[in-house]
Amino acid sequence: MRIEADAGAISSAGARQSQIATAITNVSTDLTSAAESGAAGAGTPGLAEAITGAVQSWQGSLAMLSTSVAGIGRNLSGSATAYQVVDETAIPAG
Amino acid sequence: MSRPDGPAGSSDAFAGITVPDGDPGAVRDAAATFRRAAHGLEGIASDLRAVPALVADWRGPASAAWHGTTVTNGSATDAAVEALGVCAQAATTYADELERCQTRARAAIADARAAQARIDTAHAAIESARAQQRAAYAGIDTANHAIATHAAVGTPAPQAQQALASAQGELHRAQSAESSADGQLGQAEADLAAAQRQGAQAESDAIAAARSAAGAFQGVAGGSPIAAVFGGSPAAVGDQILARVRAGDLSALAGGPLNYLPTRIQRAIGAELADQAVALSTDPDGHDRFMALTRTLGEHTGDADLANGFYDHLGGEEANQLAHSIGLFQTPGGHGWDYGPVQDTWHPYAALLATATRSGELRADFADGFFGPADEVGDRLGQHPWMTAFVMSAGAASRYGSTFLYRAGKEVLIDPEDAFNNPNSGPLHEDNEAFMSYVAGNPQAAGLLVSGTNSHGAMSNASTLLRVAVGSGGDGAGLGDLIRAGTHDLRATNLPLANAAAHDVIQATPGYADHIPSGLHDALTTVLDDHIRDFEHVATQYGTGGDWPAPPDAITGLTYDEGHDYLRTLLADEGMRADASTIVGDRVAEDLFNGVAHDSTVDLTNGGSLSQMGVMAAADADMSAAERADAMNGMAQAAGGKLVGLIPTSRVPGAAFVTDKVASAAFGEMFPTDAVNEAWDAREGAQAASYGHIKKLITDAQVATGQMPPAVSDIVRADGTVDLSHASEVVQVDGHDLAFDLDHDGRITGDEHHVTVQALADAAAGDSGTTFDAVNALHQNVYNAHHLPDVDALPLPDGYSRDNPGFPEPGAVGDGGRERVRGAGGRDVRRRVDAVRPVAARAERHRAG
Repeated sequence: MRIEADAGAISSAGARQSQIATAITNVSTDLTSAAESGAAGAGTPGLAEAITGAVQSWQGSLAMLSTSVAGIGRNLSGSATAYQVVDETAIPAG
Repeated sequence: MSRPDGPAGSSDAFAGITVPDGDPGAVRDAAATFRRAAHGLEGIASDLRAVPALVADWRGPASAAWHGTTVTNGSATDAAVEALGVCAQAATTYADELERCQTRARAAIADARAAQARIDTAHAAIESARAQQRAAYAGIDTANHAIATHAAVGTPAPQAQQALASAQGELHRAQSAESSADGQLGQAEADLAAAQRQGAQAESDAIAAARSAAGAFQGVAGGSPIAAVFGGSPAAVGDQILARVRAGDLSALAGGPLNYLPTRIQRAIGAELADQAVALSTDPDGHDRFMALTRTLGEHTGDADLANGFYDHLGGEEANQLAHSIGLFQTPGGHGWDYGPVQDTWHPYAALLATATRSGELRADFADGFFGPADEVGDRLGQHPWMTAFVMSAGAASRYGSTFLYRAGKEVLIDPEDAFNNPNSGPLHEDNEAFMSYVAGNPQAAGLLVSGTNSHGAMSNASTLLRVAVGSGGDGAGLGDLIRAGTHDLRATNLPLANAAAHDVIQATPGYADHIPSGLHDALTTVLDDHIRDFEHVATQYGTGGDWPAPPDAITGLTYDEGHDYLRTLLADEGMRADASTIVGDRVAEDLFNGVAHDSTVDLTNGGSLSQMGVMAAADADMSAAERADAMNGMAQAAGGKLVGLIPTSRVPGAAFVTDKVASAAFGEMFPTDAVNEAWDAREGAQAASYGHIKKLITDAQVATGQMPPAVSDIVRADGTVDLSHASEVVQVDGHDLAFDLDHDGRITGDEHHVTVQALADAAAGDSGTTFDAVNALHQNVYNAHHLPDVDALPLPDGYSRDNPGFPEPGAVGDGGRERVRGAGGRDVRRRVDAVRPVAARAERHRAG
């Protein structure tokens, strides 16, 4: 099995994923105002409920996505550290 | 004549036509937000897909797995982009259609108004034509009658013949006019009907557009990843759960995400569960189902919509009955209401009630229904034990809305003691200590309770609560908790209410001075500690007669007498004397330090005034000579210790200039035990001179705070006098001439390069002399001018009484302006009455300066 790893690059990728997770959360938060103004202007209770439901559903979904992306980011950072530690300690310097 | 329905003049409804509800602008705002969010997610999807390029050289199993996740998450993001795009399009389409429908409806309303106006005009024209016809028929009748009369006698009637022809012409014209108006009316009514049809169509089209949009949004919700987890869109899942709950299937709620459901469905579920709880709580055969329902509710006690649905549906009265039924359901038998199984069963219902009361959306009449009318509280006393146990079973008091918990406290603690509400019961002395401690967990409720009044405002709640605590024979710990929460803990979140509660406690406490339970001691001294600056302020106002600025966040309306009486009560109580003395002494020392450090006459006057209030309160307190000495010494020692602690010792060379001994001596003079015990006569002669200690103290403090050089301590003696035996010599420090910025202008100039003993003495007199005079003047001013002690009212030494004929003998001739009275044991007790004037004038000059 061939394994090749650039710990620095993997760590950077992890950090980038964490940034993306934060961006997803911010988009999700912005949707709250869409639910509020949409429900306020809907004109019928049914439509107001439907708009709110759609926003809540996708906010929940985006939260799941954000959690996933952030978790993978942390795993990448952990992998980078692990690669580095293994590489530095596998064969002690004589 | 009838008119079409609808308010005249309304632009949104007329003749049964209404403009469809809704705000296209707000919906377009939503669409714009959806569009921005979709655009943002597009960028995020690109970012996600770009990440692998950062690790293009990564090889291995972990790399492969990770690449898989980027694909999955990228797809999920794409789905979100698409969903939000659908939302944006649905909102835009709906907003456009809604706007068109509203425009059409408004046009239809305008047409209908115009048609209605024409209808009104036609009706009026018809009415007018008919009136004209009636007049014509009358004219014809009259003419025919005249013609017939003339014919009978054989004479012609040409005028009647002319009138007949004229009336017949009028009749014809009026009939034509009516016919024309009839035609116009028909056309206008047809136009009105057409407008109504247009309006109905516009409204129908708007409803259809809303349904279509709702379908689109529901589709978006149902297609979301989270809907895949929960089984559909919120509305779809909610309807399914509600149907299952109504069928008695509580498993639908197990672990379910109720907050995912629409509000109306959560409330409907709550209402359904309430009905089931009421039915099962009194059904002997439904025990297992009731417990299953209780366990289910226990999983959702924090859901405000479900809680509001539950208790809004029941209302207060039925909620009370349910709680009682649940308590009886567990049949405590020989156990009390705090019996574990009863508490466990109550808990979900009480916690749910707490959530509902905290939401602020519970129906307004709930508390009235739950507790019942205040003036019938006498009939409910037997309910109070289980009612308080039920309330407390919710868990932390902070879970309740403060208004509801206050109402519970009023029901149990105040109303039964109110003669108006409960005229036949009198003081009840129920054991509500645990309940008071519980309410203390909600400081806002505690503040409302302590600061309120009884039904007619005749007695403060603080007074009622203290009266019950004093009379109960208990330690009052529950009330102590309540007072501490309402007056102290609440300060962090609602200072005005906390101040109001503290004010009521300050006013009420002296009325129960003789029997204050130990459990109240800490709370009452905390009130003093929190408001010592307020006490100081009213003391200064009173002592100087001036308009001094109140400290920030002070109690509104506090008076000198209230502060004095409260302090007197605390000093008289053995359990609070030490803490109260320390609080006063500490504050006086802080004032003195600030006065010296900042050359502030205001601070020094404040300190002097507060010390006077302390002395006067101790003098008035009902305690023995030894206890009074204890109080005074406590204040002096606290002040001395505090001041020593405030002085920065790092600036004191060698050792502390301000020693405990010096400070104690100085403050011992501010809090004179002898003067209090012996009606002040010991003070009067030596008072001014005795302040030498304070002068020395102030001088040392000025050295310690860098305002004077340490060398000044060599020339100001311990008694405050100045040693000028080498006045013209330059002060030497380590073999060099002393240089010091004596005039505090930030520079050392002229003679300040070679400071003489005289210059140093002058500077000390100018600085410490001013502050010393301020304290001294205030002391004498307050003591002698405004608060001349009532000698007769002072406590007597042991072994003497007011009936002792040897005490007092007023009327003795004064000497030198002094009034002489015969004191206990035949001693002379003299009060200085005239020497105050120059001192008071000097104090006035200081204030003016």
